[in-house]
Amino acid sequence: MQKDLFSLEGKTVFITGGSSGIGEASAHECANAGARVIISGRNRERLDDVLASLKGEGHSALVADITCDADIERIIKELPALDGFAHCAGMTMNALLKFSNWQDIEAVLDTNLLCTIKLSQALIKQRKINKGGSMVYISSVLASVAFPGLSAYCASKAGMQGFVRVLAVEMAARQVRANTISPGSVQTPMTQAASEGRSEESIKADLAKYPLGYGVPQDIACAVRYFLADASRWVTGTDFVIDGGMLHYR
Amino acid sequence: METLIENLKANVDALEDVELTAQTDFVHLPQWDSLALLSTMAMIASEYGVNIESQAIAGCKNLVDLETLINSKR
Repeated sequence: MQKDLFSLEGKTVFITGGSSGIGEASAHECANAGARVIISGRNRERLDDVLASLKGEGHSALVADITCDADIERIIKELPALDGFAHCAGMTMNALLKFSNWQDIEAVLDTNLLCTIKLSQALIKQRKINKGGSMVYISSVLASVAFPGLSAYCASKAGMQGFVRVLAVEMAARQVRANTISPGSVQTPMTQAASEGRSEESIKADLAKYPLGYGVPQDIACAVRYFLADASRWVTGTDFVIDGGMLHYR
Repeated sequence: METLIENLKANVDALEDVELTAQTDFVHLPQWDSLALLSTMAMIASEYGVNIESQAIAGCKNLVDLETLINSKR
């Protein structure tokens, strides 16, 4: 019988931001595909809720704030050898540049970019990613589209793509793949919080840019599964846009 | 020599699974490439505190030569 290349049977995968949104949906998708899933997030209660709802056995949760060096050090020690890593943790902040305070800009760049690099470096230095493994990062279409009020966020996601392209090349000797996924607007607690305060008109205008409407976390989770599965064996250093047609719609 | 081999295997992904001895002609291994060279240079800088140029490494016939090169710079 031919092997199911989209199966994650026998694989151990680590998912950051696993307590909500795209991370939570990815945890479910990977567990449904047969993986042993380890999720991390800051809130123990939310992580436990997700953990309890995952299909299959052997899953676990690590309470950790990836912006905290001590937490990164601890989770690296606690993690087993991994076949997959999905980095879904992130944050956004909506303010025009001239009205943004520096602490907010730093927080976005730190969470989305610097901590991404720090955590990845720790994983690869400790050889936590098995040969033939895969690392997938949630970027954004805003890495290549200008959206007023999101300068730090756009910069952080563009930076992430540059970082992952190099990571892909550097990790190729171990047959480890690294890719980004760039979602358009997906309805998650993070994007809902970010749209608070925006006028109904502006929200309607934004929705009109999406021929297929806004996405849901499951739309992205399916791609996470693909990148962690053997089906993407020859795919590395690339960015997969999933945006309901937004990027090319005029 | 043992430490040098350990350092190479721990830091140069391309050499992780290669059996290395003092006599290994490492720069002519099929696994050796530009990334392995960069990793080796970075490992030497970090572990031994010396900078060695790529041409000097390329001129090594084996790991004995590499160790001698490192020691000559320390």
